[in-house]
Amino acid sequence: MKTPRISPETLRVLESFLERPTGWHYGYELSRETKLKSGTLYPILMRLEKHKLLEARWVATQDGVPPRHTYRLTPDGLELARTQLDEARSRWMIQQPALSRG
Amino acid sequence: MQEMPLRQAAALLLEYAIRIAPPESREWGQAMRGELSFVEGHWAALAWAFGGARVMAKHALISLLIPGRRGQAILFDGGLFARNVSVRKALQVTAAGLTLATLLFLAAPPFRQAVGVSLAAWNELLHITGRNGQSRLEALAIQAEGRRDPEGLVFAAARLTDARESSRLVTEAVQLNPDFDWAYAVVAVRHPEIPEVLEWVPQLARPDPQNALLHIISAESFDIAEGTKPSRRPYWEPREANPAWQSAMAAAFASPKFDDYLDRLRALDADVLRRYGFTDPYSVLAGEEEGLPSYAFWDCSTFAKSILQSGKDLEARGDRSGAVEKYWSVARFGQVIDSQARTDSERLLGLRLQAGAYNELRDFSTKGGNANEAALFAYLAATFGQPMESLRHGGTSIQPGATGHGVSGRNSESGSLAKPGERWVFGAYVSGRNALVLQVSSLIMVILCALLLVAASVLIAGIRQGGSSGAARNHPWATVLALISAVGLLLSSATIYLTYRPYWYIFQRAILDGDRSQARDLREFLSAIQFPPGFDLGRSPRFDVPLCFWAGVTLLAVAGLVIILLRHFPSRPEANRLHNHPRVP
Repeated sequence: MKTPRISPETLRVLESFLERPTGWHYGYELSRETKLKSGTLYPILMRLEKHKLLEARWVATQDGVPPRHTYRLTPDGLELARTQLDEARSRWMIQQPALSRG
Repeated sequence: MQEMPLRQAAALLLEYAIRIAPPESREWGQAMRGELSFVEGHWAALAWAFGGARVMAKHALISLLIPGRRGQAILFDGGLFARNVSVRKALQVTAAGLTLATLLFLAAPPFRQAVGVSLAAWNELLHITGRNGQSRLEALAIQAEGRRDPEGLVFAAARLTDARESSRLVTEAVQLNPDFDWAYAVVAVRHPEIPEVLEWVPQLARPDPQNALLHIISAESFDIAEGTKPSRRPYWEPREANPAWQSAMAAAFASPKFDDYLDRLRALDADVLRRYGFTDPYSVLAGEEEGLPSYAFWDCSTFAKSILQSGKDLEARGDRSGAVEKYWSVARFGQVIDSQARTDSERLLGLRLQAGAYNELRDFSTKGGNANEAALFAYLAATFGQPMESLRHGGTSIQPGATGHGVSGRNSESGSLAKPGERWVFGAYVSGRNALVLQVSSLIMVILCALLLVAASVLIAGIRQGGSSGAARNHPWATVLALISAVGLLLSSATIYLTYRPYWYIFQRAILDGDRSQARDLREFLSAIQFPPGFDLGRSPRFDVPLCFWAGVTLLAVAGLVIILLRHFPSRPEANRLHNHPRVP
């Protein structure tokens, strides 16, 4: 399967995942870390999941609160994320403040 | 977590968005809904919900337009058509929404004016109403009489086609305010048959004795009043037999000034239009275009011919100085008219007189052996003859590439004339094209309104007979027709609004603010839109590549929409089978 289009926003999401590569991430948590709005973040997550770069699962919550969707990168996703971020850094393509921390 | 109204609204919005989303996207909608409870801040929660709803709506739209794309199953039950919302019901609701959106255009003044203007050609063709809006002018006159408003009375008197009513209104206006006596001339120019004209002229001549217009009006009145003639002679018949007419025309040709009083008429337009909310551009501009009527044009031409002929006679008899004086008198009067002209007919007359006089002077100089002078007069005759030809053969007609800028009152690029201080904004070609777009859009709008009414009638009748679902099932074509008509109606309304909007602003600036620098485009546009496509006098229909291209694109789009809609009409067993998406918890 072809890899999804890697936009600067996608790179921000991938970088956020790489901060805890094996951990599960909530959507709202990713939104806060990447400063992306829901309308931008979720299409990226949907694309990553469609390309098998991301896995998702539902987590039960307290009574009366809807279950939460949580995500983590698959091994393929991790490899792609590292490759893309390395390439981006080496080419000085990334100028996002979040990345400057790394 | 306290459920505040904003958060509740956000939750409702997302839940509704999930309902309209296609099944394969609903899981993600649920994911966003799940996170909503953890978003900090009510406004932030609402923004989160808006973002999520946007994503769901986008997926719903894509699934509607491209069903089964990328090898996915066609999920008829899902998305916009989920659960108890049937496909046809959703389409009917969409059609109703689009129709309501179209109706909102009526709230925009440019759109209302555009519809009136765009339907003028069809009204004229079908003899529905006159495009000059005489009934609206009569209503305005009644209001002005009630308010004892001389400006309103003059405005109406200058534009009404009923001579007696025009005369009565202008007389009343001058009685209310004697400063409006110039309005007699405006009315007399339009209605020379009014018996009171001969009484008005001396009254006008007292403050403005050197104005050639008053003598021209007198000449026409003498001509009409001559003998017991029951009707006016054709304009092409010679008038030399009438001494009063000849005397008046001689006085006109000797006058150093020409004023058609259009400036004063325009000056009161803005106040009157604001006061009475009168927004019919045809009525407003039509009243201003008649600076010099056709009879005056032919009277002046006939008299000029007789002067030039008398010059030739003098020349034949050896009176060269007398002949030159005759020729120059015509050229000088042509200059007077041309330099003070405010309408195309006035300008054409001025040019015609000058071109004719310079031609005679060229011949005169050639015969006299003065080659330099002859060359100069030949140049002048050609200079004044060229734009004259352009005007006479439709100088304001649609000419490709006519993007002229007024140069000393003349458009050097297109050959047509610009009024003093006027310039093209779009040019004649674009204004003509816009007029065509508006005509076609208005016709499409009328047709689609009729189709929508038919479809709505069928659906309503079906609902009354056997419930909404039964009706829709029996008449699926009515639903498709309603939706296509509603889409077309919205598109044609938007086209009408966007196409006419610049002209509405030009009208506002020209009439209300007095800035007529761009009025030429509006005049050209209104002139072009008077005739339906193919009925334009003097212009033969031609194969129009851009028009055919866009017509083809429109037809293909409509055909595509029909195919998409027909593909979306599901069979219920399949819908039931695909009712639930397995991944949604």
